[in-house]
Amino acid sequence: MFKRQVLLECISALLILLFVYASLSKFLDFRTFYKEMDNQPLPNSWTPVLVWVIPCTEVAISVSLIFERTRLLGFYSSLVVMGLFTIYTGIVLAHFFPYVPCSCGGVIKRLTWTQHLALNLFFVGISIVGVVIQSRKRFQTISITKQNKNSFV
Amino acid sequence: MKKIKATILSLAVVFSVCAAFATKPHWTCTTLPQYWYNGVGYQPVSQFYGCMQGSTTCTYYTLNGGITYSPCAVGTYNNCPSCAVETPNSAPVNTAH
Repeated sequence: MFKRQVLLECISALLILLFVYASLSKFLDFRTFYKEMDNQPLPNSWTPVLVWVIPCTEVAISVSLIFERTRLLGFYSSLVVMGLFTIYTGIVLAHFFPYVPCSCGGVIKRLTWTQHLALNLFFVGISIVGVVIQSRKRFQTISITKQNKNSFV
Repeated sequence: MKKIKATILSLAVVFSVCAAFATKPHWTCTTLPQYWYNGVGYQPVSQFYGCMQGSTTCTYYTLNGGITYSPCAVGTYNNCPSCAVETPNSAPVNTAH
């Protein structure tokens, strides 16, 4: 139980590390990020929305992973976001687009698309582990609470 | 357990914030070799290139040997020196926000 809890904290920490770093890097070099979003194969009218939605979502996921009550939601959100990034990377690697510039913050932009895919898959994997452990933990807590209630009756 | 949790999560937040500031680009992209997109691929710019007025990306730079390219100067690429009316600028166009 203790080991599982430590593992859960480590997974949360890794995801927080990724999302806080990625969002802050985008905000710190916002103009470059804006132009890079403009160069994505998406309608340019989406750019003003996406440049705020993406980093803000990353911050929101980080915050939700800190608190016990919102952690499961944080793991699910992380899984969805990393899943979407992974699909996007896969599409790029499949040469679906003629060219797509990297739109990642900080040192992550130095990675090749294959390395990107590996990194994304790793974070998808730990998000799944997080969802499973956190769900079991929640289920156990609910079961214990119900048992306690029944024993009083 | 609460102490362990606080320590691990605090470390993660502090480390990520420090890393983001440490890796923040502190140079202008124009100091790196410039490339322009010809519709098919990326080519090195000519010696006397210019960026004409426009809101598109004029030149790009690469940090990983040409695997990915990032936008640098704003405008429309022109390799005719006499046509150039604007020197490359690292600051992208001011968009509507």
